[in-house]
Amino acid sequence: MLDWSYLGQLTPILIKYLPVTLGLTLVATVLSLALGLALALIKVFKLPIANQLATLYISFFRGTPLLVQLFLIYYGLPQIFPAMKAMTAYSAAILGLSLHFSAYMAESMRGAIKSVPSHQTEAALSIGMTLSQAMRRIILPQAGRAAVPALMNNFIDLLKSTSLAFTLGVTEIMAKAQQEASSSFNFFESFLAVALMYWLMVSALSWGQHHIEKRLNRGFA
Amino acid sequence: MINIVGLSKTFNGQPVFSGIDLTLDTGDVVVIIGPSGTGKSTLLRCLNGLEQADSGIIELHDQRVDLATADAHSIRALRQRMGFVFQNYALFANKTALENLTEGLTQVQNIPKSEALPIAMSWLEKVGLANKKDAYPSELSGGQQQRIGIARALSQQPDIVLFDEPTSALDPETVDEVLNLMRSLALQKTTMLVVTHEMQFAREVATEVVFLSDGGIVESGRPEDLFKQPKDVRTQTFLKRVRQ
Ligand SMILES: Nc1ncnc2c1ncn2[C@@H]1O[C@H](COP(=O)(O)OP(=O)(O)OP(=O)(O)O)[C@@H](O)[C@H]1O
Ligand SMILES: [Mg+2]
Repeated sequence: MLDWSYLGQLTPILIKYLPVTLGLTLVATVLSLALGLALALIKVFKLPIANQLATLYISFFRGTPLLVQLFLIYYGLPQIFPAMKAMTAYSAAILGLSLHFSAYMAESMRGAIKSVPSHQTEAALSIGMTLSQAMRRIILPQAGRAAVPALMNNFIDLLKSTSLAFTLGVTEIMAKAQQEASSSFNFFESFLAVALMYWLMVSALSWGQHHIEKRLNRGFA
Repeated sequence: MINIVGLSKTFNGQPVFSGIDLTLDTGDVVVIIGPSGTGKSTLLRCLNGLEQADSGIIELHDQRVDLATADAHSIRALRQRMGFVFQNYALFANKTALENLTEGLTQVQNIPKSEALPIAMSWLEKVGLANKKDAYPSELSGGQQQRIGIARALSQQPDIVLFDEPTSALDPETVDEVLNLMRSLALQKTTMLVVTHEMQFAREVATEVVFLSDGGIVESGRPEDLFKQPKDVRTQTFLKRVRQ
């Protein structure tokens, strides 16, 4: 039933497109972490106006499907802003993934910052630190540890969600599997191969997550 | 000399206390006692700006700060001269015992690390915990954490140290380890403002005991007077209750 030799041929072809998947993942992760941290701080400090905007932003990007957001960005926005016509599918995918996951990461980081007891800030202030020193030296390092499990889950979600980039025409592993499937009609083998690749990457990440968490918790409660 | 004049605080329009005046000479140990919820913690927190007072002036030697209107900069300057010891220790959980002390020296007072380390070590030695310098707070007992908390406050060389019930979160067996440290600080003429329910400590160590209740100072005096012959009936009732 299962065409093993086809699976053997396909795997190296898919692996060639792995850098596209990993590139999307890494760039979008860095951008969504940075944007997410900014959003989390705005919400923690309840900055006037920015706080309401951040709430609206997070609500929108968590409340609508990623696929819809990607279409809105790639097919929709250039109609309103002609300058965006130059945007490539790859850039649009990164933009969409970054905006979408920054909303989730903001919530993960906000929760972690709030989980640090307020007496930690008060103790830092009581010795004469500025609020920004207290954040950088005392609160954020503790929040960082607390945020690792949730952020790792966001990261794994993001990795899997890069498969939606194929709907914009980005040729990453999912798109390649789709192309190979429709030319060879080996749909099962093609999608099985790509599924196994995601599964392997996610398993490796989960394994890494477990070890990072164990290390972070050493000597520190 | 430290002078506190006309300190008042409300929460959501509800007055906690008003018109509090207190004076401490160098080396004085003033102990504040009073029923739960009368604002003892709030009073200390107003003094170092963790809560904003509605009115009140603090004069710390040459520095005069209006606690109701002070900007962030003068509040920080005030805090550097005023140590704070928390009921729940509040040691920096991501820092070792030693780093808890050097943090303020290097980051706030801008003392180079090479000079900050010996200062911090000497304070750890004074509180008997030099051997725990690399331990994280979670690896220390409550009593040890509080001794580090006291060392953290004192290592910044403040003019006065505020203590908010420093022993009430401790096991009964470890209370004395912290009180003994505070006794020795008093002997070394450390100026302290202490909120506590430890009446024996107040009796032995205080230069003045202040009874706070019903939004103000009901009565204050030398411990031998206040404990033996409380004038106000509220003081009498309170003392009778805590003695039982
Ligand atoms: N952040 C706050 N917001 C509103 N009310 C507060 C706040 N902090 C304290 N209060 C109120 O102010 C009053 C004084 O509280 P405070 O903690 O200073 O009392 P206390 O004398 O230290 O009590 P205890 O002996 O139980 O520690 C209480 O009625 C308390 O409910
Ligand atoms: Mg209190």
